[in-house]
Amino acid sequence: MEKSERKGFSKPCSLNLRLSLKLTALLLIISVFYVEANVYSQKDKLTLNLERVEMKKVLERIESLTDLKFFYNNKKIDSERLVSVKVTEKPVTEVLDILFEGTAIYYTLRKKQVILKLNDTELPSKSGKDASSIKDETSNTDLEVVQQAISGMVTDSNDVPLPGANIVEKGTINGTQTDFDGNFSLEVGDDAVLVVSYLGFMTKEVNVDGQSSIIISLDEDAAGLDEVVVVGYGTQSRAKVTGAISTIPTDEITQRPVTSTANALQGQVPGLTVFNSGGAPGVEDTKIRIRGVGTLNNSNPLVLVDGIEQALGTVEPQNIESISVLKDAASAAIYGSRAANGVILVTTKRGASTGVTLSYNTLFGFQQPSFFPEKADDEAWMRLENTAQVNAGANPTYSEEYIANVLAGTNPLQYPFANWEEGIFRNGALMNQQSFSISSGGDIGKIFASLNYNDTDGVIKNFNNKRTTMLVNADLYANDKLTFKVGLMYRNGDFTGPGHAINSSGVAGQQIVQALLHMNRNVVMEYPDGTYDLISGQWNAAAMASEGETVRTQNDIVAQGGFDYVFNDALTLKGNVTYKSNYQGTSTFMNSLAGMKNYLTGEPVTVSGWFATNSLTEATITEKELSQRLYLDYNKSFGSHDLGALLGYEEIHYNYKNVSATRQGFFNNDLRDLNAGGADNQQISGYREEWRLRSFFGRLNYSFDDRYLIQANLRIDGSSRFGDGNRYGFFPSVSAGWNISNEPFMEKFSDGTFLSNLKLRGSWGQLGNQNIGLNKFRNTYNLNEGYQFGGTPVSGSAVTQAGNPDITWETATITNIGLDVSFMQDRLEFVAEYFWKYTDDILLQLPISSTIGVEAPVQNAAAVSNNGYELSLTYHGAYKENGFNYSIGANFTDVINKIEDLNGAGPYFPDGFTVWQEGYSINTLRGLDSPGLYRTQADLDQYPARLSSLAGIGNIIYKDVNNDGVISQSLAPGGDQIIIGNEDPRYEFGIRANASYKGFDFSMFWQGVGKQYHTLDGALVEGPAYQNFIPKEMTDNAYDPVTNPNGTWPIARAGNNWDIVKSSFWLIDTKYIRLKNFQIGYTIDQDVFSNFRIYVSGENMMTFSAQKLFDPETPRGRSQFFPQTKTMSLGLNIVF
Amino acid sequence: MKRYNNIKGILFFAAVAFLSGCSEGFDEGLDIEPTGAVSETTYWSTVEDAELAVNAVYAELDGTQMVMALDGVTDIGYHSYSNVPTFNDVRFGEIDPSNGTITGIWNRYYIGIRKANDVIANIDKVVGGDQDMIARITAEARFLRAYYYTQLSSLWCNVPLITEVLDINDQRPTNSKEEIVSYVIDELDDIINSNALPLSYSADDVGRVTQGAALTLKARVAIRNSNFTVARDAAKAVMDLNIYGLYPNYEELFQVVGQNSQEVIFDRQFTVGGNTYNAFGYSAASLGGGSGVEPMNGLFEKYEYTGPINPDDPFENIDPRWNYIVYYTGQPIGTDTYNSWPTSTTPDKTNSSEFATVNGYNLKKWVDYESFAANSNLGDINMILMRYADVLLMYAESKIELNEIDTSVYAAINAIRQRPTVDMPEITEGKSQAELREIVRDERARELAFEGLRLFDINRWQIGEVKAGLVQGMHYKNESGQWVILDYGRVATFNENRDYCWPVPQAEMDINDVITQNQGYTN
Repeated sequence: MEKSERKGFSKPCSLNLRLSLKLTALLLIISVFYVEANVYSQKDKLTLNLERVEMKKVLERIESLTDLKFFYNNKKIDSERLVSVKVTEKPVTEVLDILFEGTAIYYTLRKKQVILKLNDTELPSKSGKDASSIKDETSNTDLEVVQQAISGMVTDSNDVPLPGANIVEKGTINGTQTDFDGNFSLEVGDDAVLVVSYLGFMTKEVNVDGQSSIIISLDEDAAGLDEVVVVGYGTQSRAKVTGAISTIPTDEITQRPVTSTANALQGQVPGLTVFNSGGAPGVEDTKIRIRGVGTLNNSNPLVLVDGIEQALGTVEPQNIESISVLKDAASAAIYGSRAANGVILVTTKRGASTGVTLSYNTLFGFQQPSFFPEKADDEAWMRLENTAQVNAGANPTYSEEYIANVLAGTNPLQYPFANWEEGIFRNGALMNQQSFSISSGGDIGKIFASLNYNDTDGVIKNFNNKRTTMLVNADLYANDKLTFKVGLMYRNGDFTGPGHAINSSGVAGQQIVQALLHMNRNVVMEYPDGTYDLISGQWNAAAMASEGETVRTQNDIVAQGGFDYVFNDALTLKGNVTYKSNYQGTSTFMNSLAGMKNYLTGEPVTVSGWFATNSLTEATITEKELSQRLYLDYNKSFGSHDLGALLGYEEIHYNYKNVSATRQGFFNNDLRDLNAGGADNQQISGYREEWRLRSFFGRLNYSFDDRYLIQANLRIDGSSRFGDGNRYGFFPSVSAGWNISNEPFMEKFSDGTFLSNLKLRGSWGQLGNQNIGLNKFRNTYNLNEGYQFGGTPVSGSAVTQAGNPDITWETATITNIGLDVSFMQDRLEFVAEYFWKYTDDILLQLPISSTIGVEAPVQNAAAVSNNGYELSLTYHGAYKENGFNYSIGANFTDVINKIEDLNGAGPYFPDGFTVWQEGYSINTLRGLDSPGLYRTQADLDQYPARLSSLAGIGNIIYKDVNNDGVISQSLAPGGDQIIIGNEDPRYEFGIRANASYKGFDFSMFWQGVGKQYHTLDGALVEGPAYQNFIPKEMTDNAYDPVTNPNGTWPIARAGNNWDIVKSSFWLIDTKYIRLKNFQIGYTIDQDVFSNFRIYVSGENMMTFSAQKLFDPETPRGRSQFFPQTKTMSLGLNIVF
Repeated sequence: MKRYNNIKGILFFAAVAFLSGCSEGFDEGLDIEPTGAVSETTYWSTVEDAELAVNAVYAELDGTQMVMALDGVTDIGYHSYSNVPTFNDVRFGEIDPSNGTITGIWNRYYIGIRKANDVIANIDKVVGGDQDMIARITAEARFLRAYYYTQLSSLWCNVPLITEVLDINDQRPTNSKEEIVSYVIDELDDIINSNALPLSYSADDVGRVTQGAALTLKARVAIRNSNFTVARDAAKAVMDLNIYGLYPNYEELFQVVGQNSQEVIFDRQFTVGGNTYNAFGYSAASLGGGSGVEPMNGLFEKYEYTGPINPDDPFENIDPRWNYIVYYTGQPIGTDTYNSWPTSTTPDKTNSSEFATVNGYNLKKWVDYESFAANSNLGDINMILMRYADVLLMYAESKIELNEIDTSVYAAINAIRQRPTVDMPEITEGKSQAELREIVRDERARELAFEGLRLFDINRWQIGEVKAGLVQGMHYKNESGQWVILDYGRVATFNENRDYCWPVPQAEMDINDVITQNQGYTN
């Protein structure tokens, strides 16, 4: 088979390779050039020919030809004196000597600074090399004339010192930070203006005016209006933002004992929904949605960590500097084809400008399953099973003797009643996190480095995950203008669990919980000798939670090299090359229990399925992504006009490889190398994926007088996922803002005591979604259509899915209106957003005639809308030193989802429970329509059509919607199913409160959903029909003509399969409010460390839900999820 | 100006370099060829391409579902319940055009037809190569296409006849069952007369279509459409090949040792490393199965006794084939004893779990415990689609229907009854046509149960009502010590004006503007 030779010749050159080479060359040339420039400037030979010009022009000219900079006091030195200079190829020093000859001016060279001084006493006979006029750069005495040392302290309005405040001399990079006592010292020009900033306080400018000691008091900035917001490829001051961008207070994330950043985002930002499927450590099981589900395809938002697409789970909460959520098109359009579902920008910490800060955080926690379905008590359980058997005309399963023995706990091997929960759950599963970081900076650069270690046991036995992350972010100043930026992240994850830990879809714990919910209990969970009873030869929850082994190792590296080159105050060039490499290796070893003998009888036990033979699957996934970006950033103020522009290029080249190998029949359960397995049953598979995205983007902002703001973005993306002619997509956006409170006519309102800010924003834009499979635009012969002859597998190939050469991007158009209002010096803040999101050209497999015999091609067909609003309100109490301080905040959001267009086709049934139909939500649920239970003969007469002839009093009534006399489970009018609701979360909210008193601090965070429904599938409602798990709800509520005639659940009956179909009867109200986190901390006043805080924290400690059956955060299904956890932990934060 | 000149120069250089790039400009590098599949522009150049393509056509052949489980919709079986409409609904006469199972079967046959059409349409593009091989591959594809149409016309009656590769926007109307059948017979005649197919293959190719398979299929499609002359001749032609015979051990014929025996004419092949299935999946819970399909009292009643009937054991002295086909209480199963009675404490107790039998019996045919106990997930017993016993019974039935009753008719039936491991008394000569008709029909039920043929027999004999009425399962002894037949009071229905043909799937009705639904079904 020489297929590879004929798959089309590869291109003779690769632009991508060239680009990286070019970019590297560019970086190298710039840096080399600057090294040279430094060497030259000192003794560079200058040629000047200037007649009768002002002296300052000469100096400027020298500045432009070298990298020297002149410093002098305008009041003392007459820079406007007319001079003439005519030199050819003279060193700088000689030129300066000539220039100042015959004047009182002499100069000092200090690195690249030339400081001009006036000799008041006497005229030097000769300047230049004269030792008396050229001062040693280490001598400070002479510098004081132009450079003066200033020392001082930065405090808050209550004179409390602020450690770590930034002080920068305006217009320079000269700056420092306050020490732990709020003190600083800095050398500045005597006319200097200091810009003092501190997070949470309003930035202040202070004239030095010759003072040598200064106390600067900062006012608290409750609203953080001067806060800098991270936006696409840059930052923006909050006041200038015109799009819908939410930022997340990072202490909300760093101070919580969560192991996943994704979980920590829940409820923090209006419009951001986090769905949690389970609490397995180390197995990312969260789904994030921004402003609803925008497409029938992949709805994941684009998560960029320092500009690189990564899973949120890969970021250690402690390393996060900021998180921005870009929700509307105006903010996200700069990311074009990947941004249709919104963008989450995570920025990791970088070093402090000066000084060294070491910090250490540690945390120990105990976890328990939270809100797992509560089981019936043993007696009620057994009696309901008996009732079910009797109602079906059979004998009771448990005799009175049996029940008595189980309850008394006597003779458990003869009268077993397996407590599967005890067999698999671990109460008080431990977790601990250690994180250490150093942040440091100085003349040559700054660095942030951190080491995080996290060890978490699962609440299911034998589950554990260990994770180590190292991060180094370094900024190296090559000179004033050029900074090299290096980032290196390495993460190692080690997950271990039993053989059944992760199923083939990557879901953790699923089969174990399935066993718990589906297996009868009149068996022995584990005999004293470690053997088991096996149901159907393979099912036993405890055995599945302990036999075999799953080991998943993850190694992720993100290496970034980049530079910022500052041309001048206005123009900066930034570039970056990033290599991302992710490796995931999963070994799944299933133990064989074949040959196991029954403990009591000594007879061999029938073993089948996964316990019949041992097997090992080794699966590896490697991902490589090389990306590069280069962009010019321009920002300039002209009086009241502020102008900004961005122009850039980006390219991403992604490779994925998946290899999986399985062998069976190992020598024993302990030899767990593939080589120890039998070669006869081995299976190998693998595939690769490759895609490339090439993009050009630009942004223009303009603002007038901080009152009128306007911004436009354009991104052009070329994607390899589409065919010739459809590869490039254009994604434009425009937005505008009006700072009403800055208008002159508002002055009387906005004096600060009442209205402090009022801003109206509006935006419109288009985004794309290219998240479809590869090669969907062409017909390909699939080589996996094999068969076998005479016991020998043979290859086969066929076109199995039709290609569609016309497919192109999905386009989301978002219109957004926002209002920001704040009062009382920003202590009360209110933000409101209203949006209309319309996603068109959604890629859908529109059905084709099945007689064509191939899977339908993907077509741009559907449209979905999401319209909604978001509100957030924050209030900070007035600050009282050492008094009671508090703040509260709340956010609220609602989105209505609707399928606008399915090209006239449909309804589609994406799974057994939902339907896609024009005019309804994507998450619409269907089922039979039920008015309740049959309770009387009148009910039987009124609803004669039954799903089963056995249905009667105590069973669920189904309406014969189409009046054809039979109940059929397809959508009306063909069948009797109706749309019974949808599972979209509505009225989502988060409420946060913080308070502190002296050394104590307290915070809590509630999160909830005001309206949400869920349909039950099997498991929790089957109960005694198939000897399944019986929830307490069922024993409490099952209808019984004698003992519980008002019961709200159907009558128990073995073999009953007509009461467990999808219907409105099992539509469950799952609205809830949950205390996601509370924390009580105490900062100990001591002299050893600069900060020492201990705290206790509780995660998911309280839940109020409209139902008691299952965790309201779990998705629809058979409740076979790794339980959510609640965690109590004790932590310590130390800053050295 | 040196410094800025340099920077500008570098930027200019970078910009020129970026923008000039390669001659293909902005698209360069964005055209990424697949690495795991072959682009259609480069396929169809060698005989190997054609061989790979025809192998893929076999992949759509009927497997466990259509062989083991299909009898669950007839009077002799039961198919387990599921939340989505399945064979269970078909069993009870509640056939709905949106039934997912029958939609899946329809789709699979048309996928097979597409693959076959692709081979037949493109094989001319192959330049050079072994011409005999090309002729054989073409004949294989045409045979498989004819097989799929035989099944489609037997199950749905009227279906679109598609013999070319369709474009994705094409829609085709229904052709009548007669058109399909006559097309299939013409195709098979062409294939048979061309002699492109061998009588047998070397070990590596066992399972490919043979001349015998083409003749057997011809007999099958003819008898399903009451064309007894053609059926008789085709069946006789198979017998006259003198390469097939009955395998002596009935039980082992459906186990590992009986695979590729002289009785097998055509089968769906399986092998570890290729396609496999859960060996016990349709069988008993105690084997790790899910009781997907269950034998019912309707099958039990077909079997004769070879001795006196024991009032305390309805299974004593019964036709041994019953014991080979069915697990009933008291039979050894795995390392244990099967017990599905309501008093049972084993996983096989009726209705005790989702995996357990509902009606009390489990399927034993196709279960090879010793071979698969170690790893039942790797079931690979070939599913027999055509075997010699069927040919003998088709021959006998055709002759009976043509009223050409002679010793060869008795010989054919008795050969089956007197297979060494069956040893049922022979049918003595002198029976009337009507008597023989009943005998051969019951013999087919007894011999061919759970081989996916019962439904077609019921349909061609137009006896659909046999599956209607109370659905009855196992015989067991109740608390009062009486032998009773298990039932749940559930009644199956049969609508003779509708149920002989399955409905065109709803999905196809929704998309296809020119197709016609079968009689009796509403959309």
